[in-house]
Amino acid sequence: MNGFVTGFLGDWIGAIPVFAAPYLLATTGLIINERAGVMNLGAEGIMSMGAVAAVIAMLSGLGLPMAVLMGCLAALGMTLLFALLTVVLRLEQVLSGLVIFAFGVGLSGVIGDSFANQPIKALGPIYPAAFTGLPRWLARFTDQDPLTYFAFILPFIVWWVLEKTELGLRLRSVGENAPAADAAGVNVMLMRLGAVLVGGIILGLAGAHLSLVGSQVWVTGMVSGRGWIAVALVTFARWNTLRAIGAAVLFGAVQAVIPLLLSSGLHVPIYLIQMMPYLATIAVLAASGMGRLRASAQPEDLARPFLREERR
Amino acid sequence: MTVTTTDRAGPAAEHRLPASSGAVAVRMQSVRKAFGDRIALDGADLSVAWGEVHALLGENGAGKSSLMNILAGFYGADSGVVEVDGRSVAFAEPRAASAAGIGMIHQHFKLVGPLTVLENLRLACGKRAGWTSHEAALSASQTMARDLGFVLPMDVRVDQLSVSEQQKVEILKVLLGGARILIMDEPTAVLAESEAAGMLDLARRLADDGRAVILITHKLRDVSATADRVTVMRAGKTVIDGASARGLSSAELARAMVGGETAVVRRGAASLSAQVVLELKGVGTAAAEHDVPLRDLNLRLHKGEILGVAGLGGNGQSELLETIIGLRAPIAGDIIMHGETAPVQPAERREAGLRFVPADRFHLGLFGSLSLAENLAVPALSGRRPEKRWWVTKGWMRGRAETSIRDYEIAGGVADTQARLLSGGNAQKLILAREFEGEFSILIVHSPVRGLDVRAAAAVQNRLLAAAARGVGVLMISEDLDEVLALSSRVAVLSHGRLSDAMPIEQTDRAELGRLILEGH
Repeated sequence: MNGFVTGFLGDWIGAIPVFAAPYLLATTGLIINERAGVMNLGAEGIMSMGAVAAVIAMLSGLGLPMAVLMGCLAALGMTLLFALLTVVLRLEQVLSGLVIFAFGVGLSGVIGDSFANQPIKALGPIYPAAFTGLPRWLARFTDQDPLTYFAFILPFIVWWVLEKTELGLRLRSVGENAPAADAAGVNVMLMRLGAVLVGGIILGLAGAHLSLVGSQVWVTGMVSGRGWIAVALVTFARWNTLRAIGAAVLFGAVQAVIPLLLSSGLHVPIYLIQMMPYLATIAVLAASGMGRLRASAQPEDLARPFLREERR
Repeated sequence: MTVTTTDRAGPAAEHRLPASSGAVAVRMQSVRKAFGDRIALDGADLSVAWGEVHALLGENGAGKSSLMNILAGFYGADSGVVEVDGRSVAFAEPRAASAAGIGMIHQHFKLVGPLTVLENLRLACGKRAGWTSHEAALSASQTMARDLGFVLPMDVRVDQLSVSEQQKVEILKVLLGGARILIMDEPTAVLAESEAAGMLDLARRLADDGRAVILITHKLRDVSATADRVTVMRAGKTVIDGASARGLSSAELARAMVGGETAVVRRGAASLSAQVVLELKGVGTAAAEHDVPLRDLNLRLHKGEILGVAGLGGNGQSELLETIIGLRAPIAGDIIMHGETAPVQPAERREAGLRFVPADRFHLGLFGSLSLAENLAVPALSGRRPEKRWWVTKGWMRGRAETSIRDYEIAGGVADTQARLLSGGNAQKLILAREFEGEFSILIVHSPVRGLDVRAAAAVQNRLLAAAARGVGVLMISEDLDEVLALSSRVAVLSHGRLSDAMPIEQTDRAELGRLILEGH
């Protein structure tokens, strides 16, 4: 038993935070969007841009901090386009999101083509000395890189801002009832714009985490549906960033077990194993569909463009 | 709370204006506004003085709300003059208007449902009131609420409050924001009679404090009871500009409003056919959050009668309507149409001669983003069409629509207009036009004249009487006792999901019904 804990189980638990962090960042960014009433289905494309830009910066010798920054900026550029379509021009949000998804994935493939499959120096743990006294699995679990630490701190900050501050109150009001917020003197467009852009930057961080910490290489299409899974996790977390931590850890665990199973020599078809995150997505969406939990937590004006002189 | 009518004429109407009053607070002149090709306002004038309650009277769609939305910064005017306190203004957004001291209490409340009362207040006026903490906001809100005589829980979600409580939150919101010019958009439309009287009293008090209060209404009674002066609008124009309210009789106001002869409701003959078209036997529905379950409900609707179901809102009215039309499955009892167990699917019940007019016109009634022609065509698509055509063309839909628009006097739209652009009264006429098409024998209506002006209400009520005279059994669920007494041949009272026995209208009176409504049975 002890051997099992230090062996397979230890490896598994130790790997969870790194796999969970991109889900957590992306879900947190999307929750900010959706609480302000904007549904961003372009997450996959925005994350791809963040991932590729971070790798390009690293391969160009700009250093890790600049790589993270470039990831955020690339994602911000993509998000600006999304914000222009949805918030300023008030186009259909679902359609705009799909456009950004396709454009972001495609563009990242094109600009990343000559940088693909070249390993980079990884962003690694920062305090290896601090955890030496702990059992190996716990040390591996707690000793992480700054981006992963940030991913697990951010949900608390976002939760506090959304639930406890004046700014959060205004943001939520825009997502729940935009005409009422407008009547109360809240600048609906500015609020949604801000929420979308901040959410986009965090999506860029999620992408940068994937390429800098996770794979440590750019491979075309490497986001492989994580952006979409994050969209589903928003519903599963019932639009609450603290619940998102649990949701992301669950999916991090599913994702972390894949390489372990593949290397364990079990005779299970590889496709069945790689299918697990998507099957889990279907399972959690089914779970959130049961009961009336979903209906009570979803922002009422989600995905509804706001135009003052339009009658409803 | 009582159901008796408060007689507000006589000495109570002798209001004094405070000394500072008289100066002009708001002046609007030759205002014009069009939404696409629909002209909402053309030549609208209004002049309101400090310290007065100024009634803005007009039919549905006359442009009252549009004019006030311009004053409150929700719409921009296409042309015309708007002056506040003598200075020319053009508010680009609601925030600018509220900074100038204009507060609007909308007919459809602008509250954020999932937030608490206090959060709504902080959202609307936290910045302007300079609240730095939760405690400061709480104490300021509670003080204001106490001054106005409101009893309101501050930490409850707004969507769990009753309509009249929500209205009080709206008023608090506007006053805490420092409004000196108050626009109340049909404040009494959603209230019970005794609450309405209190609301009019409040409007009076606020004006006596030196504020200017603009009371949008289509109830002549509100005008004579409370207003100092009155402006009447018809079809986007001002027809009476700030006349003294006491100098005008109700008949004169009504004539100015509708521009012709006033409509009168005809009362049908009261003879009960032996044929029962709809019967509910011991019907019960499941208890769920926000719902009032029906309990052991028995009802027999006869051919050609109007059976009134009286009661205060929220006692199972919506549940009753939804159960009969098939949207809600009963957990006990039977629904029998024409002597046979009713089919399960709503479409099959419709096929068997059931029609309904819901209280919320856009929730269960109309498709807001579809055109009038499409709205009218929808039921005809699933049923057996007399035309025996398999395809649907724009021309076919438009042709049918033009007939309905003419017959039902649907104003403010042509066949291609989106339904959501219609005013309340015209939206109701559109539903009637659709539901009355073809052969039917059972009609369920819920609050058919809620929010309608005198003429539109009379038109709707006459349609109901005509349907009953043709032999249709009409079940009228209404929260307006006057309406029930005016139209029904029999009446039952719905209270806490239970329905009393139906009584012939001659054998009961307002006092007895009021007692049943308030105390249950």
